[in-house]
Amino acid sequence: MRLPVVIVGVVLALLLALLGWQVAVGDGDNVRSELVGRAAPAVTGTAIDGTVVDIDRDRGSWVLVNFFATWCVPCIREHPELVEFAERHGPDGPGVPVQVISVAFDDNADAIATFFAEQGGDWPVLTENTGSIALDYGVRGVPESFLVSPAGQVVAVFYGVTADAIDAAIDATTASADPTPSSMMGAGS
Amino acid sequence: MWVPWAVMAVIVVVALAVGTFTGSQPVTPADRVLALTQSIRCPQCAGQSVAESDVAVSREIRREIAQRVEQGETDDQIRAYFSSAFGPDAILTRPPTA
Repeated sequence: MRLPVVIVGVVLALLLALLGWQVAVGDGDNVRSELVGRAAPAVTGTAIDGTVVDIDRDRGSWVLVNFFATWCVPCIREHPELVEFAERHGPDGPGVPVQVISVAFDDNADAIATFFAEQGGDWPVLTENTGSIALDYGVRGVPESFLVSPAGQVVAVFYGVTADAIDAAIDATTASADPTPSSMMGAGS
Repeated sequence: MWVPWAVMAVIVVVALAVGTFTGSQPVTPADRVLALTQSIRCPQCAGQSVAESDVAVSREIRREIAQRVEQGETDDQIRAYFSSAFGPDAILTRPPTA
């Protein structure tokens, strides 16, 4: 009479083990953005400092779109790297010009203003109606940052940035760019 | 003697047909929103739909779905939007159900 009970118990244990395995090896480690190689979705709005943001106006230069929240510990951890990167690529920095834009995710303007006052960083930060922008970019959680080429194409996604990693992505993209214009000029002369 | 049975059989068949062909379709915007949220997987969770999850991205997706339903987009258009943003395998768990 106890055999059926044992069988049911074994089956339940196997099902629980299977569930645990699925959770353990779930998609979390295999996250990738659908956006790489595609045109960057629109990023428009008025930043907390009053700057009017429109990513389409930045065509012709690099843009880093950073999704973050002040309650997000990895965002707090990566912020000094963003500050470093913005300094390298600001008007007085040695690097190519890059516009950094932060988009707050599930946060409020007061907390963000305080965060930037304490942590540094003077780039535009969008706080209003940012949920749709985040979904357009397929943001699963924060932090996520999207490097947009001067042609307006997303070339890299970072789930937590370092200044060096972004620079490496810029260098790699620049190095792999088609040198067609100079070749054609040479061939025609 | 068989007439009442025949009438009852017809009623049962009609009721089953109505239930099969109309009962599974969401009839109100709220029904559509619920069905859509149940058919899209939470991008940040394991094994949960956005209807079941309360993480920030799921809340945003629920809000976006409600807004798009209100704006008159079809279910297919809405699913295509999320499929494009998050990838078909990443978020679509199953077709809309009853």
